[in-house]
Amino acid sequence: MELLFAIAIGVLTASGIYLLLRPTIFALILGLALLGYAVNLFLFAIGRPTLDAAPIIGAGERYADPLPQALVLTAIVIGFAMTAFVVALALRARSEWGDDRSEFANDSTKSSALENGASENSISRNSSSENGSSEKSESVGFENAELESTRTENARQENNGPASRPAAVSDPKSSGERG
Amino acid sequence: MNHLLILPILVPLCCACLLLFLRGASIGAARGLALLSSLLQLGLAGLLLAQSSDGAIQLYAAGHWLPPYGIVLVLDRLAALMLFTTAVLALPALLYAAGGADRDGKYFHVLWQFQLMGINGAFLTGDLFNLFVFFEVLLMASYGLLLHGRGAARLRAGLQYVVLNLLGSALFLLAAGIFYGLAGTLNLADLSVFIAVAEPADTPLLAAAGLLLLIVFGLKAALFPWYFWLPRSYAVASAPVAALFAIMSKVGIYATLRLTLLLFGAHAGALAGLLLPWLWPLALLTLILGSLGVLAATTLAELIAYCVVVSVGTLLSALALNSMAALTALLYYLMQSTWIVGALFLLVDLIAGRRGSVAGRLQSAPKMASHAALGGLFLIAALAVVGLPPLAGFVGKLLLLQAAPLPDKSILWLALLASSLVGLVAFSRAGSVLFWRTDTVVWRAGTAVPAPMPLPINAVCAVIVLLGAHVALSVCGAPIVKMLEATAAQLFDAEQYTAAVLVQMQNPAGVEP
Repeated sequence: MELLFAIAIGVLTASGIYLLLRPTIFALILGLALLGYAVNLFLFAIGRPTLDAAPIIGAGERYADPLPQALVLTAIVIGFAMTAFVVALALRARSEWGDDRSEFANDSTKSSALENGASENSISRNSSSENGSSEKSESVGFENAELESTRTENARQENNGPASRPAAVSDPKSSGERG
Repeated sequence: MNHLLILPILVPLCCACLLLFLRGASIGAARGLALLSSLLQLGLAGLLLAQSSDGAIQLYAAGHWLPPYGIVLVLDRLAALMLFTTAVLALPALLYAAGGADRDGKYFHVLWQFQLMGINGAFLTGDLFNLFVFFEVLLMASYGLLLHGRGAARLRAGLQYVVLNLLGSALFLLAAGIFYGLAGTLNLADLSVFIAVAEPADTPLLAAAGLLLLIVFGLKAALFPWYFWLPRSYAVASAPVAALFAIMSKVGIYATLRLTLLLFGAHAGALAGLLLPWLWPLALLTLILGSLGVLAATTLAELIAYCVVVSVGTLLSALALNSMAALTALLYYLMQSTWIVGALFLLVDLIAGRRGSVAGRLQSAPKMASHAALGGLFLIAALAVVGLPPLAGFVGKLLLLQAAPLPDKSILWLALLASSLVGLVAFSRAGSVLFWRTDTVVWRAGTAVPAPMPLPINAVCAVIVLLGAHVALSVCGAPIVKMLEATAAQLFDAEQYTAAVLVQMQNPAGVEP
């Protein structure tokens, strides 16, 4: 059982660290969660895993150490709250930056883009969604998928830069409604 | 049992809960309550400092659950000193926040009080797991305070800060787990005794746990490979929050002190001095890289944030010297650097608010309102933080250099003096850009001439109180250094600490309520 336990902790830790090194926030959160599981299992194991024994002294021949269980409970509560917090933070980051990259490496370029173009970003995003809706209403008359796709290509090239991604997101929805 | 010991935790906790209920009420009521709580904490910290000055180590068993089952608070000279340093910093910072920064979000004062609770608790606790819990309390509050107010820069810095600290928490739990698995206890005094007589088979694991804790505390304190989050987050935080954060990196220093001296101190047998060979190069590198950051900073807030990094490097290199004189210098430097950095964060915000669209960037701008008063305050603060005579920054550096024996520790002399020179260059450059290079650019397009506005009285008071505390440290240098020498002696005598805690643990009569 000890071997199984140790392998489980090792695999969880390794996967957690691998995910922590990924460049997207979503992977980062998963990595933190996996690392948290590994740490909790580890804490659970430090009292030496005991089978079929109550954590009460005098209840039987053997008893389980209750303290690691209390520690794990505290760690789980804190870890759960923190995961929820990071998820909320990541959602806000996603809505402000328009993508999910954590930008640990080249964020100096990103920061200037954000500071200078934060307002432009939101404006162009609005305009791109307007484009999408107008195309949709026109496309009913055309009913020509090829023409439509070339037009979205053009639109995508027009608002290059930070707005290109929201435009790409809005495309499948409008085409889906068309189909 | 002295119930005063738990009050530095209870007062902010109760205040925060009250504030939660009062959140519909006017902001004036919230400010009043928060200031009252801060005043109470200052009084309490002064009282506890006076009580601890007889050298006795007091123990508080919460709920009268005696160890090994209960969790204890321990008050020694160092804990009292840290509580006092925190309270002196928090009151002016709160006063400054009452000028408008607390309107950023609904829960500013609540988070502020929880932050103080976490900091006070971390200083008082005598239990490793409890230290983890208080770390989490202060970190969670700091996440909230850092992200207060909108802004993409704050969000990005905040996300990095949160993720790094979560990683730190995971490592902390691993280390605590190893300690519990080997020693069967998490009480610091118990652990200290266990490490001193550890079996040779256990020592590698204990060393691993100790070094893991060094990583965790180094991350909190902003030691070399783990300091990159600090300038970024401190520079984007609002001014009073950044000022309060000046004590947060010192929490990491405090924990490193306990780890180095109480757990792996001279008494620790095979593991004595385990961390010192690691601390010495890392602290020196922190000092050097922090100085480079000071020189390269492009905004005022960044400049001050790198001063925090420099102070961390200085403090930990003093710890690595591992002598009584160096420890005295460390404690003195810790107090003065905390207060002066806090004062500078507030002052710099005041200056940036008067420079129109240029704000905190180190570029020339139209002449600001209240030019002379702000310039005078900046001059005093810059002298203090760079470490020029006659202020306490100089005294601290002098004490530290005296404690470094010259032939073999000359690299510390070199690094410290070079960092002072670099600081002097950076601050004179910043000061001349801010206050002298003003008239040429009035007509440049894009720089709006700021409307003259009077200095807010509470903000100026806050800066003056912190500068005054710093000046008081320099004026009363001799008695304070004497007190700090006693503190250092108590810290070095880990056996006195463990004996005091363990005797009171095993003798319930000694902890009668």
